[in-house]
Amino acid sequence: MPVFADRDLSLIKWHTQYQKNQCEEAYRKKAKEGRSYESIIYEKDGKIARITLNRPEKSNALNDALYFDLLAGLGEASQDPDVRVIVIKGSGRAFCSGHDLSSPQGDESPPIDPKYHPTVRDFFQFERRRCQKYEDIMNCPKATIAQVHGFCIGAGEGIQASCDMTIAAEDAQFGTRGFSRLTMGITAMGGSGAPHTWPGGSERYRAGRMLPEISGKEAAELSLINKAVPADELEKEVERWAQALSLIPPERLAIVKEGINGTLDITGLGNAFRNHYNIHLALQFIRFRPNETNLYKARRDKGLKGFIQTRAEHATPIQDAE
Amino acid sequence: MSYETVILEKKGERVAHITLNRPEKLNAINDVMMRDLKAALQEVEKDTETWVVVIKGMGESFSTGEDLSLKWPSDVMTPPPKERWFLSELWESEMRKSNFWQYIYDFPRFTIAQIHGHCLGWGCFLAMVCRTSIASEDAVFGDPSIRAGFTSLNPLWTWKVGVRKARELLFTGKYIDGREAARLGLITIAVPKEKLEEEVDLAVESLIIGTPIGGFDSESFDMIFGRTAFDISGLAAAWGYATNVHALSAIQRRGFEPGEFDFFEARERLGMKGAIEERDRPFKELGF
Amino acid sequence: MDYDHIKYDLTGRIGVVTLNRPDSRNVMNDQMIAELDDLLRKVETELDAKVLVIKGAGECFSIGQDLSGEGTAAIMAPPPGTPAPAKEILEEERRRSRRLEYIFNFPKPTIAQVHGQCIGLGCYLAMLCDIVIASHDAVFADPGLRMGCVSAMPLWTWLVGVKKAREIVYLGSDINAVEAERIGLINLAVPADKLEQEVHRYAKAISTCPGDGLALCKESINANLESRGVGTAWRFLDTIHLINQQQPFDPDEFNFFKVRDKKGLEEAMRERDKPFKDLGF
Repeated sequence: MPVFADRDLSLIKWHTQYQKNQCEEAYRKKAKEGRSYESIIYEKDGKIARITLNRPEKSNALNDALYFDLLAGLGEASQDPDVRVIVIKGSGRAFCSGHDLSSPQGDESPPIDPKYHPTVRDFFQFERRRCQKYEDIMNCPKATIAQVHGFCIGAGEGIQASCDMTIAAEDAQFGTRGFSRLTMGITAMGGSGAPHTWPGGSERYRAGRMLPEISGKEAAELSLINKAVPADELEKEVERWAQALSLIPPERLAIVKEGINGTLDITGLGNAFRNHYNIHLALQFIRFRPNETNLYKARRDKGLKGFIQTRAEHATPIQDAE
Repeated sequence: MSYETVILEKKGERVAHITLNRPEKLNAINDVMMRDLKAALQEVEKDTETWVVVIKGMGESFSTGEDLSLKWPSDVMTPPPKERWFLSELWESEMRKSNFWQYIYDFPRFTIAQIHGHCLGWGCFLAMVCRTSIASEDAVFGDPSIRAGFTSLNPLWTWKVGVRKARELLFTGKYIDGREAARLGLITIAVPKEKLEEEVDLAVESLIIGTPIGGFDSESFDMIFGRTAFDISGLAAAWGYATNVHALSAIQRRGFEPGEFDFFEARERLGMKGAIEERDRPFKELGF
Repeated sequence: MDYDHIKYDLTGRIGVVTLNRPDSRNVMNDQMIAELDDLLRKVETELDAKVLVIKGAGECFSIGQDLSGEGTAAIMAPPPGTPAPAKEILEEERRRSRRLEYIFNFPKPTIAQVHGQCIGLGCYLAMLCDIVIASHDAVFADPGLRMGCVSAMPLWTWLVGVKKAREIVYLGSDINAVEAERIGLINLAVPADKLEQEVHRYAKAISTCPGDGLALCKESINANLESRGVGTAWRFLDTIHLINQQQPFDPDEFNFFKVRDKKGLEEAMRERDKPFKDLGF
């Protein structure tokens, strides 16, 4: 879906010569490439750009291709002088179900299998890329809104957390699953670096339970997201917020956004991301006790289906939400 | 091993229970209990099969906090302004306290505080340094030490309940019930009194069932690295600072101006119970 | 102590500062801030006052800076794009944020008693207080960005969390008292007729505690924020302000100051808020 081909660049009002050069260059390059996205849908509607994560058959699980397209889409919207607001949403029944654990070995998105043993140097490079994705989303100079429905799990939560605003359906489900799920509750992501609860030491973010999963409604009550609305009103509500944000001149928004992101960095968020690489690196050398479930092995031996099945077998429903 | 003021029991393969055992004093923490609690935890630490530690109180309360009847030298009570002591003694004592709390905070297994009855002052500290805290709805929380002129040597208040509520609680020393404590984020879960034990068992069970998924290795990384994230955001510095300011609150030798409540003087005059009553009376009249 | 725009009373051990321009809804200008500064410095060393209550006379706490452009050189930067040397702008910003930090670190507990509007600088003043108690009719907002001015307050992130902070700062919409209590901006929302009584209850309880202990307790809590970098954040936002001041209005951007000079303040305010109001913000 080439979006640039038919643009008349002479009609665009540029803020500065620098921006003009930059954008024209990007436009020429994109037009030449005839960029088309495979895993996202990029739509532009006046001042609002919409990026739809589009792997509905996988509940929009993140693989390398989807990440690449998402960031390219954000890049395109950032460069486009018309666009003031970027909405990120998911197609199908979920916003995003986290890393695609069925990705081929060697992909950078899912957690690396301990058997894979990359060198520490390699590891740091791709860990940094992995974590930088969230920082890239956070530092996008335009206003970003995550429109969340259905599951918003693991890395999906990282994406919504890195957006400026999150509007969710009341029945959306936020949480981390699989690994490290019990110690810090919903703040697990805050503890290891996602900005929305940072520095998140409060017990309230666990919403009174051991399982780190909460609904959109609860998340809104805890100010983890901005607003929760009934699922059928979600689209309309996000449109309203996007319209309001599009009233803000883009240069001013970039300045004030830098102010808030800088404040987060001052509290050590960047450093916490580095700490997060180290957790992942350390987890490379994880060993399993005889009575523990080796989910990596389950995935190796039985594939993704086996992995999910094994996890479900062991993760008996522990506690009711009520 | 057996201890004087705590009971350590192993319950099944994975769980240890530590019970504060001074019921006649509502489990007020004295120097012996500090030492015993740490020793008991160290014993648990050596046993790598134990993943979960439940800390609870014997009798009608979890803990009323520091034992206010103690006399200097004691790590629990700061010295009265009029007695003669060296600053170095105070500072060393403050460091021991701070290290004690940080040791429990960083304890590398799941810690669960099971709270009923009173949970005041250091009792609250103990609840805050555990990874999960489950209380009965009618439990009473609060840190009234400011009423005698002392600050909190635990910086976790602002992390747990936020800046606004931390100030409200610590400036007035007001008491709140378990439900409010859960709403503010001081504790994780509040349940009706009769369900407390059941809820704790459920939490323990969920940890024992859940941990093998992904392995204790990864849980343990999360516990330890997760703590680093808080240190990065300033908690490490805050421990040090809170300790120093607490020492300062003990040092201010100017004593008190007329009309201000001097706990040490009141304790001599009225005994401990009378002193606490006198301390709390004006606040009770105002509804705190 | 005689002041034009504020009033100070001491009852018992409680000092009460009243923002006292009821006819103009306690709008803040250089003089009011200078008087407040002067007063606080005097109260700082006065042992009689153990706790300070700040409130507004008349129908509201304060509607914030005087946007008419008269007598606000010290508390507001010149409109964005006004030619001015960067050095001077930055120095001014530093002075402004130091003044706010001074109130934040004032060595006695401070309580803001908020009713009616509490907007812009008025809202900042309330945020700097240790405890905020508001009546149910109170409204908080930080609408600077609607006029092309960025928010000067790093405490938003710490008090209400980053998502809410972005919402409040980007959109400048009103926050009612109940919502403010939920998100942690204030301690307590009470019915209007109970406000005075509730504030007094807290002030009285706090003033019963030993004064040195209170100062240390405040120090301990503020140091917690300091170790999370709030001091650095003030400095950082000074620079962000400078960048914003030097960024001129775009030709098609709503220029509040131009509209104000042409059509008057009231019309400018109406035009500023209308598009947001239409969308329900």
